[in-house]
Amino acid sequence: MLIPANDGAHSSDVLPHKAFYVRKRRSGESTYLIYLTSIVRIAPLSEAIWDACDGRTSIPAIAGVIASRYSELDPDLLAALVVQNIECFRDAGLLESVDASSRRV
Amino acid sequence: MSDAADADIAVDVPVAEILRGVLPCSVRTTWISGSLVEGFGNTGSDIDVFVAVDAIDPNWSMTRRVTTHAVDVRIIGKRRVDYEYWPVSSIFAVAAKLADLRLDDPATNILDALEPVEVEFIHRLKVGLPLSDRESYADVRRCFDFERFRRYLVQNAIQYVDDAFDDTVGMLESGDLDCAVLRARDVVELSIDALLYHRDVTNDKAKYRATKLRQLRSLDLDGEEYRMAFWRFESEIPHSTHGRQNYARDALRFSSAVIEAIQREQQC
Repeated sequence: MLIPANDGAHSSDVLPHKAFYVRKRRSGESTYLIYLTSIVRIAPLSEAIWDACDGRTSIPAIAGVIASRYSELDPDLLAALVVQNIECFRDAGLLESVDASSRRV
Repeated sequence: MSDAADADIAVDVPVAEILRGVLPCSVRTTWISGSLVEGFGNTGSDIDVFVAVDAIDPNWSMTRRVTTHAVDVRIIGKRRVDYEYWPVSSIFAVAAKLADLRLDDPATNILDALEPVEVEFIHRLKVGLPLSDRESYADVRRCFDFERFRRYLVQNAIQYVDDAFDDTVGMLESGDLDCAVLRARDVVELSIDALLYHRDVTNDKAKYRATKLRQLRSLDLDGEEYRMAFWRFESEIPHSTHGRQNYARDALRFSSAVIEAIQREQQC
Protein backbone atom coordinates (compact mmCIF):
# COMPACT_ATOMS: atom_id res chain seq x y z
CA MET A 1 0.00 0.00 0.00
CA LEU A 2 1.40 3.36 -0.97
CA ILE A 3 0.05 5.38 1.92
CA PRO A 4 -0.70 3.68 5.23
CA ALA A 5 -4.14 4.88 6.32
CA ASN A 6 -4.02 7.47 9.13
CA ASP A 7 -0.34 6.95 9.54
CA GLY A 8 1.51 10.05 8.45
CA ALA A 9 4.70 8.82 10.09
CA HIS A 10 5.39 6.44 7.22
CA SER A 11 4.48 8.76 4.39
CA SER A 12 7.93 10.30 4.37
CA ASP A 13 9.27 6.90 3.31
CA VAL A 14 7.08 6.81 0.23
CA LEU A 15 8.12 8.56 -2.94
CA PRO A 16 5.13 8.60 -5.29
CA HIS A 17 6.15 8.25 -8.91
CA LYS A 18 4.02 8.82 -11.98
CA ALA A 19 3.72 5.50 -13.78
CA PHE A 20 5.63 5.44 -17.08
CA TYR A 21 2.54 4.17 -18.90
CA VAL A 22 0.39 7.19 -18.02
CA ARG A 23 0.36 10.20 -20.29
CA LYS A 24 -0.87 13.62 -19.23
CA ARG A 25 -2.58 15.56 -21.97
CA ARG A 26 -4.30 18.90 -22.31
CA SER A 27 -7.35 19.22 -24.50
CA GLY A 28 -9.06 22.57 -24.67
CA GLU A 29 -9.13 23.90 -21.11
CA SER A 30 -8.96 20.48 -19.47
CA THR A 31 -6.15 18.19 -18.38
CA TYR A 32 -6.40 14.42 -18.44
CA LEU A 33 -4.39 11.47 -17.20
CA ILE A 34 -4.66 8.67 -19.72
CA TYR A 35 -3.76 5.02 -19.38
CA LEU A 36 -4.87 3.18 -22.51
CA THR A 37 -8.67 3.44 -22.39
CA SER A 38 -8.81 4.82 -18.82
CA ILE A 39 -9.13 8.58 -18.74
CA VAL A 40 -9.20 10.74 -15.62
CA ARG A 41 -9.90 14.46 -15.85
CA ILE A 42 -7.95 16.39 -13.22
CA ALA A 43 -8.32 19.85 -11.69
CA PRO A 44 -5.36 22.28 -11.52
CA LEU A 45 -4.59 21.40 -7.89
CA SER A 46 -4.57 17.68 -8.70
CA GLU A 47 -2.35 18.40 -11.69
CA ALA A 48 0.15 20.22 -9.48
CA ILE A 49 0.19 17.24 -7.11
CA TRP A 50 0.57 14.85 -10.05
CA ASP A 51 3.48 16.84 -11.44
CA ALA A 52 5.21 16.66 -8.06
CA CYS A 53 5.04 12.85 -8.03
CA ASP A 54 8.52 12.50 -9.50
CA GLY A 55 9.75 9.49 -7.56
CA ARG A 56 12.18 11.66 -5.61
CA THR A 57 9.84 13.71 -3.43
CA SER A 58 8.14 12.38 -0.31
CA ILE A 59 4.48 13.03 0.43
CA PRO A 60 5.22 15.63 3.16
CA ALA A 61 7.62 17.36 0.75
CA ILE A 62 4.95 17.34 -1.97
CA ALA A 63 2.56 18.92 0.53
CA GLY A 64 5.20 21.59 1.15
CA VAL A 65 5.55 22.29 -2.57
CA ILE A 66 1.80 22.59 -2.97
CA ALA A 67 1.45 24.78 0.13
CA SER A 68 4.02 27.23 -1.23
CA ARG A 69 2.22 27.36 -4.55
CA TYR A 70 -1.24 27.79 -3.00
CA SER A 71 -0.17 30.02 -0.11
CA GLU A 72 -3.64 31.53 0.20
CA LEU A 73 -5.07 28.18 1.34
CA ASP A 74 -4.82 26.45 4.73
CA PRO A 75 -1.67 24.25 4.73
CA ASP A 76 -3.40 21.52 6.79
CA LEU A 77 -6.24 21.37 4.31
CA LEU A 78 -3.77 21.21 1.44
CA ALA A 79 -1.79 18.45 3.13
CA ALA A 80 -4.99 16.43 3.47
CA LEU A 81 -5.83 17.08 -0.19
CA VAL A 82 -2.36 15.95 -1.23
CA VAL A 83 -2.81 12.65 0.58
CA GLN A 84 -6.32 12.24 -0.80
CA ASN A 85 -5.20 12.92 -4.37
CA ILE A 86 -2.25 10.58 -4.16
CA GLU A 87 -4.54 7.85 -2.82
CA CYS A 88 -6.84 8.43 -5.78
CA PHE A 89 -3.93 8.24 -8.22
CA ARG A 90 -2.72 5.07 -6.54
CA ASP A 91 -6.15 3.46 -6.52
CA ALA A 92 -6.54 4.24 -10.23
CA GLY A 93 -3.23 2.47 -10.91
CA LEU A 94 -1.53 5.63 -12.08
CA LEU A 95 1.42 5.55 -9.67
CA GLU A 96 4.51 3.52 -9.12
CA SER A 97 5.72 3.86 -5.57
CA VAL A 98 9.28 3.97 -4.46
CA ASP A 99 10.16 3.27 -0.86
CA ALA A 100 12.76 5.84 0.17
CA SER A 101 14.16 3.48 2.80
CA SER A 102 14.99 0.98 0.07
CA ARG A 103 17.23 3.58 -1.55
CA ARG A 104 19.30 4.11 1.55
CA VAL A 105 22.62 2.38 1.53
CA MET B 1 20.01 41.52 -52.16
CA SER B 2 17.23 40.60 -54.60
CA ASP B 3 15.08 37.49 -54.21
CA ALA B 4 16.47 36.12 -57.44
CA ALA B 5 19.99 36.58 -56.08
CA ASP B 6 18.93 34.73 -52.89
CA ALA B 7 17.62 31.94 -55.07
CA ASP B 8 20.82 31.91 -57.09
CA ILE B 9 22.78 31.33 -53.90
CA ALA B 10 20.36 28.68 -52.63
CA VAL B 11 20.63 26.48 -55.72
CA ASP B 12 23.40 25.84 -58.22
CA VAL B 13 21.26 26.35 -61.32
CA PRO B 14 20.93 29.97 -62.53
CA VAL B 15 17.48 31.43 -61.87
CA ALA B 16 17.20 32.65 -65.46
CA GLU B 17 17.69 29.08 -66.65
CA ILE B 18 15.05 27.80 -64.22
CA LEU B 19 12.57 30.43 -65.38
CA ARG B 20 13.13 29.46 -69.02
CA GLY B 21 11.73 26.04 -68.15
CA VAL B 22 8.34 27.45 -67.07
CA LEU B 23 5.66 26.68 -69.63
CA PRO B 24 4.24 29.69 -71.45
CA CYS B 25 0.96 30.26 -69.63
CA SER B 26 -0.84 32.75 -67.38
CA VAL B 27 1.63 32.71 -64.51
CA ARG B 28 0.66 34.65 -61.37
CA THR B 29 3.95 34.11 -59.57
CA THR B 30 6.82 31.64 -59.29
CA TRP B 31 8.87 30.57 -56.30
CA ILE B 32 11.60 28.12 -55.54
CA SER B 33 11.61 25.88 -52.51
CA GLY B 34 12.59 22.49 -51.14
CA SER B 35 15.54 21.01 -49.32
CA LEU B 36 18.21 23.05 -51.13
CA VAL B 37 16.52 26.32 -50.23
CA GLU B 38 16.24 25.16 -46.61
CA GLY B 39 19.89 24.21 -46.46
CA PHE B 40 19.11 20.48 -46.04
CA GLY B 41 19.92 19.43 -49.57
CA ASN B 42 22.78 17.52 -51.11
CA THR B 43 24.20 16.82 -54.54
CA GLY B 44 21.31 14.44 -55.27
CA SER B 45 18.53 16.81 -54.20
CA ASP B 46 16.12 18.12 -56.78
CA ILE B 47 14.92 21.70 -57.15
CA ASP B 48 11.25 22.40 -56.55
CA VAL B 49 9.77 25.25 -58.54
CA PHE B 50 6.22 26.29 -57.78
CA VAL B 51 4.20 28.07 -60.43
CA ALA B 52 0.86 29.64 -59.49
CA VAL B 53 -1.28 29.71 -62.62
CA ASP B 54 -4.83 30.71 -63.51
CA ALA B 55 -5.57 27.20 -64.75
CA ILE B 56 -3.85 24.05 -65.96
CA ASP B 57 -4.24 23.42 -69.65
CA PRO B 58 -5.32 19.76 -70.13
CA ASN B 59 -3.24 19.66 -73.30
CA TRP B 60 0.02 20.27 -71.46
CA SER B 61 2.31 17.29 -71.44
CA MET B 62 2.95 16.66 -67.75
CA THR B 63 4.99 14.03 -65.90
CA ARG B 64 2.32 13.67 -63.23
CA ARG B 65 -1.15 15.02 -62.60
CA VAL B 66 -2.95 14.94 -59.26
CA THR B 67 -6.20 16.53 -58.20
CA THR B 68 -4.57 19.65 -56.82
CA HIS B 69 -1.78 20.30 -59.31
CA ALA B 70 0.44 18.97 -62.11
CA VAL B 71 4.18 18.30 -62.15
CA ASP B 72 6.59 18.66 -65.04
CA VAL B 73 9.99 17.09 -64.35
CA ARG B 74 13.02 18.41 -66.21
CA ILE B 75 16.77 17.93 -65.97
CA ILE B 76 18.81 21.13 -66.01
CA GLY B 77 22.55 20.59 -65.86
CA LYS B 78 23.03 17.92 -63.21
CA ARG B 79 19.87 18.77 -61.31
CA ARG B 80 16.39 17.40 -61.56
CA VAL B 81 13.93 20.28 -61.50
CA ASP B 82 10.29 19.64 -60.57
CA TYR B 83 7.95 22.34 -61.85
CA GLU B 84 4.76 22.17 -59.83
CA TYR B 85 1.90 24.01 -61.51
CA TRP B 86 -0.77 24.99 -58.99
CA PRO B 87 -4.00 26.63 -60.16
CA VAL B 88 -4.93 29.52 -57.87
CA SER B 89 -8.24 27.75 -57.18
CA SER B 90 -6.30 24.83 -55.66
CA ILE B 91 -4.14 27.20 -53.64
CA PHE B 92 -7.18 29.03 -52.26
CA ALA B 93 -8.82 25.69 -51.44
CA VAL B 94 -5.81 24.59 -49.38
CA ALA B 95 -5.75 27.95 -47.59
CA ALA B 96 -9.47 27.67 -46.83
CA LYS B 97 -9.04 24.12 -45.54
CA LEU B 98 -6.33 25.27 -43.15
CA ALA B 99 -8.44 28.22 -42.00
CA ASP B 100 -11.44 25.95 -41.35
CA LEU B 101 -9.61 23.41 -39.19
CA ARG B 102 -11.14 23.18 -35.74
CA LEU B 103 -7.94 23.29 -33.70
CA ASP B 104 -8.10 23.02 -29.90
CA ASP B 105 -11.59 21.55 -30.09
CA PRO B 106 -11.68 18.37 -27.99
CA ALA B 107 -14.75 17.18 -29.91
CA THR B 108 -12.97 17.29 -33.27
CA ASN B 109 -10.40 14.81 -34.44
CA ILE B 110 -7.97 16.63 -36.72
CA LEU B 111 -5.74 13.61 -37.40
CA ASP B 112 -4.32 14.01 -40.91
CA ALA B 113 -6.98 16.60 -41.74
CA LEU B 114 -4.51 18.04 -44.24
CA GLU B 115 -3.25 15.72 -46.97
CA PRO B 116 0.53 15.20 -47.17
CA VAL B 117 0.64 17.11 -50.45
CA GLU B 118 -1.15 20.04 -48.79
CA VAL B 119 1.23 20.02 -45.81
CA GLU B 120 4.18 20.01 -48.17
CA PHE B 121 2.73 22.82 -50.27
CA ILE B 122 2.11 25.08 -47.27
CA HIS B 123 5.55 24.43 -45.83
CA ARG B 124 7.26 25.04 -49.14
CA LEU B 125 5.36 28.27 -49.63
CA LYS B 126 6.40 29.30 -46.12
CA VAL B 127 10.13 28.76 -46.75
CA GLY B 128 10.17 29.61 -50.46
CA LEU B 129 12.00 32.33 -52.32
CA PRO B 130 10.14 34.23 -55.05
CA LEU B 131 11.52 34.02 -58.58
CA SER B 132 9.01 36.28 -60.29
CA ASP B 133 6.34 38.81 -59.34
CA ARG B 134 7.23 39.32 -55.71
CA GLU B 135 3.97 41.15 -54.94
CA SER B 136 1.83 38.26 -56.18
CA TYR B 137 3.99 35.87 -54.20
CA ALA B 138 3.37 37.95 -51.07
CA ASP B 139 -0.38 37.88 -51.87
CA VAL B 140 -0.32 34.07 -52.06
CA ARG B 141 1.56 33.87 -48.75
CA ARG B 142 -0.97 36.19 -47.12
CA CYS B 143 -3.70 33.63 -47.85
CA PHE B 144 -2.09 31.26 -45.33
CA ASP B 145 -1.96 31.52 -41.55
CA PHE B 146 1.41 29.90 -40.93
CA GLU B 147 1.03 30.08 -37.16
CA ARG B 148 -2.18 28.10 -37.51
CA PHE B 149 -0.29 25.65 -39.73
CA ARG B 150 2.37 25.21 -37.03
CA ARG B 151 -0.29 24.55 -34.39
CA TYR B 152 -2.00 21.98 -36.63
CA LEU B 153 1.28 20.12 -37.15
CA VAL B 154 1.93 20.01 -33.40
CA GLN B 155 -1.54 18.68 -32.61
CA ASN B 156 -1.36 16.16 -35.40
CA ALA B 157 2.07 14.96 -34.28
CA ILE B 158 0.88 14.53 -30.69
CA GLN B 159 -1.94 12.31 -31.94
CA TYR B 160 0.65 10.13 -33.63
CA VAL B 161 2.69 10.10 -30.41
CA ASP B 162 -0.38 9.03 -28.42
CA ASP B 163 -1.10 6.19 -30.81
CA ALA B 164 2.48 4.90 -30.62
CA PHE B 165 2.60 5.44 -26.86
CA ASP B 166 -0.51 3.32 -26.27
CA ASP B 167 0.77 0.68 -28.68
CA THR B 168 3.96 0.43 -26.64
CA VAL B 169 2.09 0.13 -23.35
CA GLY B 170 -0.10 -2.61 -24.78
CA MET B 171 2.89 -4.48 -26.18
CA LEU B 172 4.71 -4.29 -22.84
CA GLU B 173 1.64 -5.56 -21.02
CA SER B 174 1.32 -8.49 -23.37
CA GLY B 175 5.05 -9.26 -23.11
CA ASP B 176 5.85 -8.54 -26.75
CA LEU B 177 9.16 -6.87 -25.97
CA ASP B 178 10.61 -6.93 -29.49
CA CYS B 179 7.69 -4.95 -30.88
CA ALA B 180 7.48 -2.77 -27.76
CA VAL B 181 11.08 -1.65 -27.99
CA LEU B 182 10.78 -0.67 -31.66
CA ARG B 183 7.45 1.07 -31.11
CA ALA B 184 9.00 2.91 -28.14
CA ARG B 185 11.67 4.20 -30.52
CA ASP B 186 8.84 5.46 -32.76
CA VAL B 187 7.43 7.27 -29.73
CA VAL B 188 10.73 9.08 -29.27
CA GLU B 189 10.97 10.03 -32.95
CA LEU B 190 7.39 11.26 -33.12
CA SER B 191 7.84 13.24 -29.90
CA ILE B 192 10.88 14.94 -31.39
CA ASP B 193 8.82 15.72 -34.50
CA ALA B 194 6.17 17.36 -32.30
CA LEU B 195 8.87 19.42 -30.60
CA LEU B 196 10.34 20.50 -33.93
CA TYR B 197 6.92 21.61 -35.17
CA HIS B 198 6.37 23.43 -31.89
CA ARG B 199 9.60 25.32 -32.56
CA ASP B 200 8.26 26.20 -36.02
CA VAL B 201 10.46 23.74 -37.92
CA THR B 202 7.59 22.73 -40.20
CA ASN B 203 9.51 20.57 -42.67
CA ASP B 204 7.86 17.17 -42.19
CA LYS B 205 10.49 14.99 -43.84
CA ALA B 206 11.68 12.30 -41.44
CA LYS B 207 14.83 11.86 -43.52
CA TYR B 208 16.02 15.29 -42.32
CA ARG B 209 15.22 14.69 -38.65
CA ALA B 210 18.88 14.69 -37.64
CA THR B 211 19.53 17.95 -39.46
CA LYS B 212 16.45 19.52 -37.93
CA LEU B 213 17.62 18.38 -34.51
CA ARG B 214 20.86 20.28 -35.03
CA GLN B 215 18.75 23.37 -35.71
CA LEU B 216 16.87 22.70 -32.48
CA ARG B 217 20.02 23.42 -30.50
CA SER B 218 19.70 27.08 -31.40
CA LEU B 219 15.91 27.17 -30.97
CA ASP B 220 15.46 25.44 -27.63
CA LEU B 221 17.31 25.87 -24.36
CA ASP B 222 17.10 22.12 -23.87
CA GLY B 223 17.80 21.40 -27.53
CA GLU B 224 21.17 19.76 -26.98
CA GLU B 225 19.75 17.59 -24.21
CA TYR B 226 16.93 16.43 -26.47
CA ARG B 227 19.38 15.76 -29.30
CA MET B 228 21.62 13.64 -27.10
CA ALA B 229 18.65 11.68 -25.75
CA PHE B 230 17.36 11.15 -29.29
CA TRP B 231 20.65 9.64 -30.45
CA ARG B 232 20.85 7.46 -27.35
CA PHE B 233 17.41 5.99 -28.11
CA GLU B 234 18.25 5.62 -31.79
CA SER B 235 21.54 3.84 -31.28
CA GLU B 236 21.36 1.94 -28.00
CA ILE B 237 18.60 -0.67 -28.09
CA PRO B 238 19.56 -3.29 -25.50
CA HIS B 239 19.45 -7.03 -26.16
CA SER B 240 18.47 -8.30 -22.72
CA THR B 241 14.88 -8.62 -21.58
CA HIS B 242 15.47 -6.33 -18.63
CA GLY B 243 17.31 -3.84 -20.80
CA ARG B 244 14.49 -3.72 -23.34
CA GLN B 245 11.89 -3.21 -20.63
CA ASN B 246 13.88 -0.31 -19.25
CA TYR B 247 14.45 1.12 -22.73
CA ALA B 248 10.71 1.16 -23.46
CA ARG B 249 9.92 2.69 -20.07
CA ASP B 250 12.60 5.37 -20.48
CA ALA B 251 11.36 6.15 -23.99
CA LEU B 252 7.81 6.67 -22.72
CA ARG B 253 9.05 8.86 -19.89
CA PHE B 254 11.14 10.90 -22.34
CA SER B 255 8.11 11.34 -24.57
CA SER B 256 5.97 12.46 -21.64
CA ALA B 257 8.58 15.05 -20.67
CA VAL B 258 8.74 16.41 -24.23
CA ILE B 259 4.99 16.55 -24.86
CA GLU B 260 4.23 18.01 -21.44
CA ALA B 261 6.85 20.72 -22.02
CA ILE B 262 5.18 21.55 -25.34
CA GLN B 263 1.70 21.68 -23.82
CA ARG B 264 2.95 23.75 -20.87
CA GLU B 265 4.38 26.34 -23.29
CA GLN B 266 1.20 26.28 -25.36
CA GLN B 267 -0.78 27.16 -22.24
CA CYS B 268 1.47 30.15 -21.57
